[in-house]
Amino acid sequence: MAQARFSDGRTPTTQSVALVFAADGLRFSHSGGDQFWPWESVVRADDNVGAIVLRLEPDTGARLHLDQAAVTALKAARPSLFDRAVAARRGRRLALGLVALAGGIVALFLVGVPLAAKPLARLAPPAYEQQLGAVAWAQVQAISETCEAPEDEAGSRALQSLVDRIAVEADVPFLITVYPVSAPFPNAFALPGGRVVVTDDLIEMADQPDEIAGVLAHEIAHLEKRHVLANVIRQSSLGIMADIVLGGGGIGQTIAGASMNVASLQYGREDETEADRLGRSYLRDSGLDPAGMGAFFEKIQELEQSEMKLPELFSSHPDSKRRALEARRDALPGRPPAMNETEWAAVKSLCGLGAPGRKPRKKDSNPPDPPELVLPGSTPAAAEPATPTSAP
Amino acid sequence: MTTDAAGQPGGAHAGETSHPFKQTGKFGNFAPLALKNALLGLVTLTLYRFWGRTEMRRRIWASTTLMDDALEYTGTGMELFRGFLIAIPVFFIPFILVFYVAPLVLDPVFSALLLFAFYPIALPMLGAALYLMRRYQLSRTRWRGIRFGLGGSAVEFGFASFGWMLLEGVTLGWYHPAARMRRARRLWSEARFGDQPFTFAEGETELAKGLYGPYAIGWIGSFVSYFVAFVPMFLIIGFQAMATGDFENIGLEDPAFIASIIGGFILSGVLLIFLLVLVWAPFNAAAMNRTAELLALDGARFKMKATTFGIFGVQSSGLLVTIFTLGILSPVAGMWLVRYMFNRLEMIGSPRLDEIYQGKEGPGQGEGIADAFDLDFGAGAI
Repeated sequence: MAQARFSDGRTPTTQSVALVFAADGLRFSHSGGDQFWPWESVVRADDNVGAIVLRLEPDTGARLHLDQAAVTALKAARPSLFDRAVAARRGRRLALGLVALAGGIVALFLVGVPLAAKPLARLAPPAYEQQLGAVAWAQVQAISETCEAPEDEAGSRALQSLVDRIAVEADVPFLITVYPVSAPFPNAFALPGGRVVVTDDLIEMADQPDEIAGVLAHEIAHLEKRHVLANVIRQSSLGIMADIVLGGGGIGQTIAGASMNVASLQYGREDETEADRLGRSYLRDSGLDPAGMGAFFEKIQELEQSEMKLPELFSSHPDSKRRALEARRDALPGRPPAMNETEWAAVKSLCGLGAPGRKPRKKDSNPPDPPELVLPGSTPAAAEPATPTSAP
Repeated sequence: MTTDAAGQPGGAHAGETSHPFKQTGKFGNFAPLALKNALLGLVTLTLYRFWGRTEMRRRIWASTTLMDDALEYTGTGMELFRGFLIAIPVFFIPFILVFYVAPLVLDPVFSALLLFAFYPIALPMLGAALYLMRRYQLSRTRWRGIRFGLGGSAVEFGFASFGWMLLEGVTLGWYHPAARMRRARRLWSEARFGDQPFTFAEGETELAKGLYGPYAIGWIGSFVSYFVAFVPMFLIIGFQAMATGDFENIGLEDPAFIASIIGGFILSGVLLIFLLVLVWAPFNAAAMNRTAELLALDGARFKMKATTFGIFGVQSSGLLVTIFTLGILSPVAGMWLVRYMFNRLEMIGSPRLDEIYQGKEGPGQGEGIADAFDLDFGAGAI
């Protein structure tokens, strides 16, 4: 005789009951009266470890703790209650659903955030961007040395007046200030809020003021289009996503922390092309010759050829050769150079460049990493901003 | 009709029958589940964790019995997930605003103040989250179909926890035994089985009786542990210096030596963890036993017989399995601890079960921010 202990869901007491396995369900009598549990409402309340316990769905709190004979009878009467395949199917559906959800979240951030980053950046008040720029500038200062010795004053002034001249053509909501810094790699980048940083190695690489003008115009274009802020938004939302999904394990904070190194942010290829095009139009409109930009790209291309070359597909910068050609095509020969002789000499002696103690840069013996070698999305250590670059 | 012994009226007063708890969890039952959860966690960006944790709990509960009947966990992964979704606007968004956004877009002084003000709000919130987690878990626990529950105020508990934390800080930890027992009192005196409340330390004034001796062992032992764990390191460095006769530059240009230093530090760190588990085992055992001793349900009392070496054994084997599986089998470690505790726990006397009635339903969703901070202490199980 199949027996079970029954608890009624009102008090935690049990009483023995005799079970009748009918075609449509379970019948038994207890001190409170007769019970009928239809099969379609009967589910297991155990976890496949230990005794078999049944309950109703929806749960009334009542439980049947089956004895061995009852288990045998139940297996015959209602085998589906012992079929693990049902639970396994449900588990697979859940897992697939969650994989899809996870994929959706990733897609949202990889596609949606980049799409939203630019409009958001354009909406952000300039004061916010300047605040962000102050933080970024502090980071840059920590890893490079600003050239602000008394003998750098004339060169800085020449660079600044060139920036002012180009910036007149740009629609930028803040003042643009240029900072020459001493760093062991040729690079120029714009920080959020209007700071443009140029390294001494880049100045040394340039043979004529128009090349510097091209670089500056490109960076100012990034600022006008607010590419810099859009980049920060893109990168930090990755960290925030990781933080939310993983439930604040600290991984997201690490990513966000790394992305705060704004000097290391990569631009997308469209951003670069847009900054090139806009930069050329600034140069044209301010009476300068875009050919200088082309000359500079040719130097970058030379550098790249001396290094292992990655196909353009993998790099964030459009091919330097093509960029050089585009700038050369817009050339306006006959225009006066971007600086006079005195100014140019002052710029070329910035950061001790012309000083006798300084070793001249040898392009072949120690070529710096070309910018294109860094894949977009990589987060280099904060200590070496050499690789990531927003050089033109 | 027969009625079992525990159901007899007045059972609690009719003699001191002992009802031992039994926990029959097996490695073979838990390790595959832990492995499956880890794999699914990987492919779902950890989103599976709510369901994985639920399955793990269901299994632990189901293998814990009293009077031959198992506990039953009725929570669902969806409830935990819902709690997590609620925690996003309640906790994560403010957290992100204060930590990430404010320092970038606000005045630096103001954002620093905001950061500073965040802690007195966030820390009590953590305590409250722990209480809510407990409330959720008890409400999803049934025995013979009758559910447990937790009343009281999570916010009050949160602020009390914050207060205890401050007191522990200013007393260099010596308030901890009192804090631990007060915490247990707050959690247990609001707990109930069905409509029957538990009582904790009724008529008892000295909650932490007998705990200060074991606490002193842990407190002093911690210093000794640090010393013992790192002495070999200093010896290595010292010998090296003597061997080379160079006390200025102790061989730091030698890669083999640097590797041995790093290896030494890792070994010292592992040794330190085991030593700390050892020196705190007397206190942990005593605190568990004391908590059980102060607890009662309708006249039935509880007794736990945790021992120093038992606790050390179960915690250190848990640590080993966690370390060697890179955390994947940490739920097994959690199960081992639960198994150890329940198998040394008994109920003395019987509550009048026929006078305990079904309790109220619990909260509709799960544990929210408790998940974020892993307030089930990394076991992923309880």
